[in-house]
Amino acid sequence: MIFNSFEFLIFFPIVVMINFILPQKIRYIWLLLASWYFYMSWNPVYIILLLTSTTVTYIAGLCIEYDRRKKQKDSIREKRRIGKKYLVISLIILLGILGFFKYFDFILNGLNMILSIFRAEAIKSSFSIVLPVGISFYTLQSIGYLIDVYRGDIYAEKNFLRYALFVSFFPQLVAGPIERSKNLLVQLYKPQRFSWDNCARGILLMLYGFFLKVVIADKAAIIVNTVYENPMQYPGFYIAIATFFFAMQIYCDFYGYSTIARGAALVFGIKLMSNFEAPYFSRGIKEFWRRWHISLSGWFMDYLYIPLGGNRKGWLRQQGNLMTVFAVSGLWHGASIAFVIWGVLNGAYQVVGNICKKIKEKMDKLLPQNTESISVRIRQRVTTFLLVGFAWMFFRAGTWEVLQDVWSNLFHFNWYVLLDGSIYELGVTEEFFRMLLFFIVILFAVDYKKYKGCDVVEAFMRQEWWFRLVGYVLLLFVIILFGCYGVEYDTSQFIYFQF
Amino acid sequence: MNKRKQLSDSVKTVGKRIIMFNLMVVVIGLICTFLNFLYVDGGANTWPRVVMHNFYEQDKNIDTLFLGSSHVFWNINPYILDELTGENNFNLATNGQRVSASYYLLREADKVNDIKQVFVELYYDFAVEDGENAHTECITQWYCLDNMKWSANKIRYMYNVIEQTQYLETLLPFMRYRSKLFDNEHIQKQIRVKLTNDYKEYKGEEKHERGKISYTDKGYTYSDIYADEWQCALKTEFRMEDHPLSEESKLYIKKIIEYCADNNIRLAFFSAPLYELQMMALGDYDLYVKQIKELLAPYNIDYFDFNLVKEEYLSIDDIKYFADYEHLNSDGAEIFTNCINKIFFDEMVYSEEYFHDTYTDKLQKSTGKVFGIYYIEDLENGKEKWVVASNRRDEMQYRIYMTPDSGETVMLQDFNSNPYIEIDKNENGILSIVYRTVGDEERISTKEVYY
Repeated sequence: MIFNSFEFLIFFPIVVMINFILPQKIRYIWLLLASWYFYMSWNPVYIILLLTSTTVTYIAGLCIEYDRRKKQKDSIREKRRIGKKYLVISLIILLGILGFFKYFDFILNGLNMILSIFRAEAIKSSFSIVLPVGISFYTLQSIGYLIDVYRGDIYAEKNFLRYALFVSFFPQLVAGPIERSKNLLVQLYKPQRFSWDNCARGILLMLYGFFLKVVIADKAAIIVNTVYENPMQYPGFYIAIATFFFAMQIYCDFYGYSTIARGAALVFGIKLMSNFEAPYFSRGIKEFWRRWHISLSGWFMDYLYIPLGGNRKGWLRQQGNLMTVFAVSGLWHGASIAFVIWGVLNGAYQVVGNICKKIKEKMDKLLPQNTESISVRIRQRVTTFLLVGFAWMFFRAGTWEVLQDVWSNLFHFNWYVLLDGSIYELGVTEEFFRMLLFFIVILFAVDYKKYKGCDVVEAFMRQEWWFRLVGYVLLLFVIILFGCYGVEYDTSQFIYFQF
Repeated sequence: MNKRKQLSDSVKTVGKRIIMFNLMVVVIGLICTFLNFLYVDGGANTWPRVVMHNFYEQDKNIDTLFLGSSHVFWNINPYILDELTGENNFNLATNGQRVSASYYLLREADKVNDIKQVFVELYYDFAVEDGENAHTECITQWYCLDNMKWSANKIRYMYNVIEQTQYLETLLPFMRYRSKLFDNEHIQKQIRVKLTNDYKEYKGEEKHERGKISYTDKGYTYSDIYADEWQCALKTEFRMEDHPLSEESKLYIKKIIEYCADNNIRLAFFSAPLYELQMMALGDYDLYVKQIKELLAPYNIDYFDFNLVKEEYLSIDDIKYFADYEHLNSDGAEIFTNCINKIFFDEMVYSEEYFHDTYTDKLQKSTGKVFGIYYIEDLENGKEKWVVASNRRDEMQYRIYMTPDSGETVMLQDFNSNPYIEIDKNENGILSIVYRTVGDEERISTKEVYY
């Protein structure tokens, strides 16, 4: 059941209504059942994996907690070893499951490539693996909880059902945000009363999320797919245009999902973290990664970069850690060499940035410039966008073969396609193409306000009733009229479901 | 005092929110109505809209109900039946009506009428798996759903028949026209059509090249269209052998049977007569008849296939009775309705006296005649293989002349039993097929075909 499906339109109001009819004490059980049903609507069998992850981390959390208390009681000061074996065992289990389902084919292909060098017979798999939806997200969320317990940042959750809800809360179960126990688990304890304000804000966020997903992302996907599925036929500027639209597609797709998730959770009175903060207004790659997929970047920062030593062990080690984190991030996004290249490229941008930092500082001294001038800001934003867009090319290609085709056809100077109407033959008619550009401008306008620190939802909610009414109705009809769904389009899955 | 004020404030807040919510619902409803007016094709939806309106407006009880596709509303004249039977007959037929739609329309009709008998048409193309018009199923279901009044029956119909991805387009018809969002011509046309008195009063006429169709208020379309005798070259790749009866059709046929049994309604299924050229091009039509009969046998329900009716009871194999290969014009409808009256109302049960056992049997027992030509396959030499559609193929001989638009007349063969013809793909012209039956060489006839 995806958010932009009719099933969800029925499922969500029913879950909300029953939730607020039930006594507060048992609401979390209802939400848990609804979340499991939501997950099972993809494939009932995969609930076994979700339950396994939940049970393993729940028990491991309790064991670590028990170990800590026991050692505190026995006045053992060797804190570093508290619960370590439980943490290691559960990490092996969780990463083992993730590795098997996500990377089995990738590892096998790699092995076969090595075997072929030695002219040995390739290993054939007698089964095919389908990646369970959301496994990468709930695995990271569970690991995050466990490390928090291990570090003593939080107490282990004793109520299994409440902990299970933390892992499988349906708005963020399959594509994040990857929530922290300190934020979500704590909120699951608080009694949530029905609030009109939360409901109105939640619905507004959901509508905006649907707008991003079905109006911008899915329409842009038509252009992107046309070009990237046949890069030989669409060289040069076509690829550049498609890459621009892919940058919009992936942003609106994922930002849309996160926004719907935040809105849906808010209706229940639960505040999920914001996953995107106007990333395309970033003035550098480092800033971009602080604003893009914040929950994942934060997770890697807290649970990988810092444990690796972060920036505490010298400049060289810091650059190595950066490269490691981004390579792992690439691999997390997909079991393919193209994703690894995408990750490494983003890491390399930052390493190069760090190398050039000192040179730049010297240059600034020699040629002082106003870093807050419009020209500098525009240059920095455009450069960041181009670098990010270049990396998206690897991401979209997905496989080495497509990447080669895209790369070999990229350098054709056919600028005239921008003027002769050829761009309207990429699956979207002229009128809808213009509307798509108009909606992208709207998106950037909203993002700019956000970048400037304005809470757009709050600003909207402060307006007079007629303005809010027009806003809701307008957003609804833009989705209805310009959204990609129904008989004309296949309902598109969210891109991040595959990770 | 404070508590009372607090209570009054919270009542006011709730009241305001309820008003705001209702206002929003009203605004959304008004916008949807306006968009439906601007975008929904008033022309394409005309007939189902008229028939459903007339159905709901019927004052008298409907005694006999005919359900099915366009073959019902073109071919069966309920006014004649009313006169002959003294009962109220109604065609609740819509374009491309599937068996599933017939089932829900039967329930709809039976809610407000005491229906005594129902006759359900089973047109092969809508009853088999992957028929030629399978892609239109969703649209034809919308024809019925758009014009049905809201009820539990309609919701059940929608839930069981419409795919989930089509729910929004089913509920909000204007969404089907999103590709025409900026099409001014379309919008202007809709406004023009919907402001006419005919549209507002659920009346109208459709003018065609060779005649017109007039809507009547009992689910019948009067037409004075005559099929073009020249246009007897039929290109279809549909062969009955490749298309078994669909599971959905079987399911809804059984549902109709059960419903009629539970509600004491006399039930029979039938197929309307098609022009022989169309029938011959279908391949083994007997397979279809066999499947239907086997399905109905355990329930003791009759199936009347009027493509198998004996010539002495229904003689409409002349193209002059047809508006096109599939639909009778009003002259044909008059003859067919009289035949229906005799078989359905006088005899009441299926009788072998009226029908041949199989279509093959019918062809073998009829006098030799050529109805046109139909397509067989593409050939490697860039030509197409066609065959002469004659009912006594093996016992006939043909002399064939071909006159291409861009050339002179050539005789392809001289009284030869070979019925196959090779035609260039991009060529048009006239074929003159002179034919005679072996053993009766004196009687020679000619059929001219524009290909």
